[in-house]
Amino acid sequence: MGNLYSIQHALNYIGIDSELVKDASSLKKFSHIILPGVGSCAEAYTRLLATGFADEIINCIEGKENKILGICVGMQVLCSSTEEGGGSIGLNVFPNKVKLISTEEVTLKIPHVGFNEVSASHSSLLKNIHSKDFYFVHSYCVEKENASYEVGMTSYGNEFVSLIESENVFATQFHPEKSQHNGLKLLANFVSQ
Amino acid sequence: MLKKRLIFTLLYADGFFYLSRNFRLQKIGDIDWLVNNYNFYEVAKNIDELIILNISRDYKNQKQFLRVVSQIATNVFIPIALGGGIDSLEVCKKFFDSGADKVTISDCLHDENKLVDEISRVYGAQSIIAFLDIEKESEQYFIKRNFGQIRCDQDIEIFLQNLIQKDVGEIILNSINKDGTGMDFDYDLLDLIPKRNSKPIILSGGAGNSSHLKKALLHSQVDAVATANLLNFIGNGLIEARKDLLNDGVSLAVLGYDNEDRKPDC
Repeated sequence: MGNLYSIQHALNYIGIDSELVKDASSLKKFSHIILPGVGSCAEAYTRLLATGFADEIINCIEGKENKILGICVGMQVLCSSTEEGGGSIGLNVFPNKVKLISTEEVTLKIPHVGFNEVSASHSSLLKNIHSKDFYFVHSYCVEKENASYEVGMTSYGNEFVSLIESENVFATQFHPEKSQHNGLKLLANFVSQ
Repeated sequence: MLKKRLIFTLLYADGFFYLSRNFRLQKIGDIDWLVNNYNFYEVAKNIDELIILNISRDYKNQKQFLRVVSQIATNVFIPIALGGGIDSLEVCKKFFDSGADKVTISDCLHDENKLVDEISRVYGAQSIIAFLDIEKESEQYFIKRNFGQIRCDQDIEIFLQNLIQKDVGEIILNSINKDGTGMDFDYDLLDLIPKRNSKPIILSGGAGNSSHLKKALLHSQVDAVATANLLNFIGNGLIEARKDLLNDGVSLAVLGYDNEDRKPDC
């Protein structure tokens, strides 16, 4: 689901100005940065490297001046590696690995598609959101490392990491821009960080 | 736990939305009617996904269709699938650029060309829904193409067996016999699916009230249901139906609009 415009429509709907950034060097002037997912994780990583965004994203994360939200593949690319597309490394912001959704259960359908629950104990992005149902569509998922930044988990086959919050870095496996009111509220929560 | 999905299908052709009954069409209203009289953006807050099909016979002319789609796409925050007239990657690109998250394909599933593989390579298999119009003729099921006009003589079970091996994300089984009748879904369609199926199944055609939706959503082989009947769930029909289904313990998402704040503030 590589629809950049739907994220902008959602931001626009809740009254937040946004801009599609094409020049990596201008990234740091934005207080909040959303890294959406386009295509496969391996492809996204290659393109971030080629366009200079990889370095700028790392700079923004380390500088702690900007808040960053990775969505779907935008979350996966922040991890250390992915099995997808023959295997690739990632930006390695988090040591987690991205693997194909466990298919030990024969009845498990792939992709994992539809609304599913995010179970989280303390999350600033989920603040004041009463329902924890969000829209997922993916075949690869972020494996647990049992670290404190893994604030949200979702079960499909095995349990995987669906929500990350670590200082100025946030990431969701689900699509807030496709998750009705719950997702709009999450985007509003991100911008008020 | 993964929730089941309630999907709404809009049928559009040459400036108007339509009702369909056994694939005979009745013109209902234009986009202004849909938004202002039907109150579609409120209805859309109670569904999990939206499908918009261009059923125009003049399907090569997609401009007007895509303008309407763009208008809808800026006002709903759920996945949108678009279909009708997809015969090339170029058409798909236009659909995705107009706000589609997925595309539905039908006729080209029967062709020898590699369009499914091409779409899958660029947009991913999860973005492809195989949309099958199925008609029962003297106790036998057939897939129909070209707006239900041409019968495909291939054995439907063999066709489905091959289909689940392809790079498609989901499969819609749409009953032509039940289409628009409101007389409940055709559950026998589910018997056509291979035993070891790994694709989500969407059942379509025949939903008339919330008890039909309930029965289908509780069925173990059904991942989602689709309804295209604009008039069966008019007014607060769909909103009430979703409430009833949740109260009856059907596994649907709670979409969060119950709270008094309609738009989240920053």
